[in-house]
Amino acid sequence: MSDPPSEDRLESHRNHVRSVVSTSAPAWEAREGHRAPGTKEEEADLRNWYRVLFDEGLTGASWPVEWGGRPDHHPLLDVVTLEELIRARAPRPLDQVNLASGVLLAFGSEPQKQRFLPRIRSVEDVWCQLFSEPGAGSDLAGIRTRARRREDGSFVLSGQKTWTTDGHWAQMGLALARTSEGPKRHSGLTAFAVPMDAPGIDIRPIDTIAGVPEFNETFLDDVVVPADSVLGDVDRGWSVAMSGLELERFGVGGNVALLELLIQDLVQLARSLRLGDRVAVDQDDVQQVIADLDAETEAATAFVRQHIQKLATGEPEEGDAPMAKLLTTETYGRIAAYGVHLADSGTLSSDPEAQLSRRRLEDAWLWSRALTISGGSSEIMRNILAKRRLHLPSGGIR
Amino acid sequence: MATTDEHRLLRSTAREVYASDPSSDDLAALGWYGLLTDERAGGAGWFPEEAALIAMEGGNAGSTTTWFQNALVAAFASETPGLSGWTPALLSGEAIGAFGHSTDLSWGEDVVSGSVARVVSDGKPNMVVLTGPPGTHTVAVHLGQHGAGVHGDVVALETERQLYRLTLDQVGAVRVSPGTRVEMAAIVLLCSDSVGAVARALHLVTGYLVEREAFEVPIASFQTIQHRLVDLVTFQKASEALVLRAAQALAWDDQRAERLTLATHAYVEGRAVQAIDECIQLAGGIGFTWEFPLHHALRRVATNAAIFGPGRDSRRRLASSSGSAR
Repeated sequence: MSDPPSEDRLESHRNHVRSVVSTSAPAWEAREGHRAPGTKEEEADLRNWYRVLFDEGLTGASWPVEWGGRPDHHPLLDVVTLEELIRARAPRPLDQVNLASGVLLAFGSEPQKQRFLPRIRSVEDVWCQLFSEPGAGSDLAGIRTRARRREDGSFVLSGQKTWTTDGHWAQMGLALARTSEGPKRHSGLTAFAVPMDAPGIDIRPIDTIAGVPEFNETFLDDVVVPADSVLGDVDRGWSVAMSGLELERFGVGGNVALLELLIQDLVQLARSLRLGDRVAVDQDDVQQVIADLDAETEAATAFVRQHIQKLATGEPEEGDAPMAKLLTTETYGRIAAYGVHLADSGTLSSDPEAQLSRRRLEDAWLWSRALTISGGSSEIMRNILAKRRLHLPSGGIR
Repeated sequence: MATTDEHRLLRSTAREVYASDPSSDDLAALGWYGLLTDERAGGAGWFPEEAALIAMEGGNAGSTTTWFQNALVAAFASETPGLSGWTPALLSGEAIGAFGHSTDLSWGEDVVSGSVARVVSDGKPNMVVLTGPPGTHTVAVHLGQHGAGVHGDVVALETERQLYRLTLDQVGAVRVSPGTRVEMAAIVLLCSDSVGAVARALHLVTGYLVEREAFEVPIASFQTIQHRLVDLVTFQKASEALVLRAAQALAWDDQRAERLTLATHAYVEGRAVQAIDECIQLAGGIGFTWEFPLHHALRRVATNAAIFGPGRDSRRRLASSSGSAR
């Protein structure tokens, strides 16, 4: 990795992001847990916005230069981009966009790159991930979707996928299916690029606890894909899937900005809330809790910054990433939960700013479980840390 | 200081020093007393980050020395008009300085009266800097004066360091505005000591649970135990990162230094006690015995939790700074 950018470079990048946001971001505010577009107009806004981000070198900057990446790219610049998008409450590029491109760049053949990468940059294609299944979530090696090879080299996919984020408006899916029964569960899997409008694909949106469709059940009923849909080697799909999951390790760096925003909304709410005959913010117990959550935010931020610094200087420490995930996601949930509880324990001013803060905290509270469950649940993170960081023995009564 | 290599080296040196049971002459020769005092006043310069790392190792080692209190009082004296005469004796270790907190002080024009329930000090302190609740004065007091009492009969949990209580009856004092960078450094170093003690407790209990078997398997192989240990190490590492970030902000005179210091105190002080308490629970019966040394760490952080003021005061001030209190 190249040397970390100078403070001046980071600052000028920050200003660039701010200017792009002010001229081109959708007029509406991104809501936590409402990532997929709700209307055709929102979808057009989103595609347009994501295209601007690619064009301005803010998304896809890490790609090789011949595919549109920036020669001066450094992951710390991406951290700044994400921070600023969050602070501006602008929609953020979806994980799946980055995930598919990472896999294509690492495992795609030249013709595959030619075919898919430009369409990702132009946002003609949104990609979704067809990994998880009803019987295989955190334990991905247990997937049962099958891909049968036919004599002409094409494959026939059959099975059921779930938690397909953005499946209902994606053009392409990155699918993992079993192609053979190997001696190990991790072998015999193959990764495919699958058009989401292929005959035999049935997509059924699942509403989240926020009441909006974020993800889907995806049924594959004898879906035929040509031989050149295979990404990487047949039966070697496990490493393809894992590489996609590893890519976003810097992502947590920008996410601490979400915690800052939640604290701001919590303070705004407490200023506009009456508890009996006093304003909440003047009550000692309320101050104590808010300050404690604020301190917890600073602790998570300090840890994440240290972690990012170690990554940038090439000295990552085993287990720092799961720790960063635990600290940020669990703090996020605690701030939001307290905000909602506080809002409901008094009388909130009808002032639009106060009402908006309340809604943001409610959105975040409902969304917080996505953060502690997806991408490896908090419990899985603790298992990983027990093994890799503390080197604790396995084999106890489970 | 920037690189992790330099951090590692400094920490390993500090560990060796603590293991050698250093005298005050040794510590003066190492320059630790001068880590926060300007070179023109005879110190090494302003090095709160290095001081924090050394303090963390002190908490980890269960050290009896209270060197950083000398360093703090020396720096405080060197930066306060009228007190610079104290500095040389504190830097050489001839005088013992201590930082303390009290809610039982009253001030005259240039005198102070009241009591201080406990200060931690490696021998009877000669000079103290005392802070009070938010909105009150910070005072520096020379304890050699008439009316100043230093008493060793303190009832407290602490087993590793010496404690004294102070009585002050119309004793001459220098009053200064609170919130100086040395006061901030005091809080950061104290928290750093506590984080070191948490690391020690966690190391002890983890080692024990990996060796000790129940139901014919190591206790540390049970998932419920593992997850609790993971939460403890996550807290310890987050605390460490926060302490160092606050210390770094102090080193750079960053405008966020005060906020980060208050956040550090708010985050670490109560949670450090809970963390070691949890270690004792995880250790089971052996953790309940005097012989198993976990309780010394608990006693140390319980003392630390209030000697420079309670966390609730820092939360109050943090709330003011973030606008959630008016």
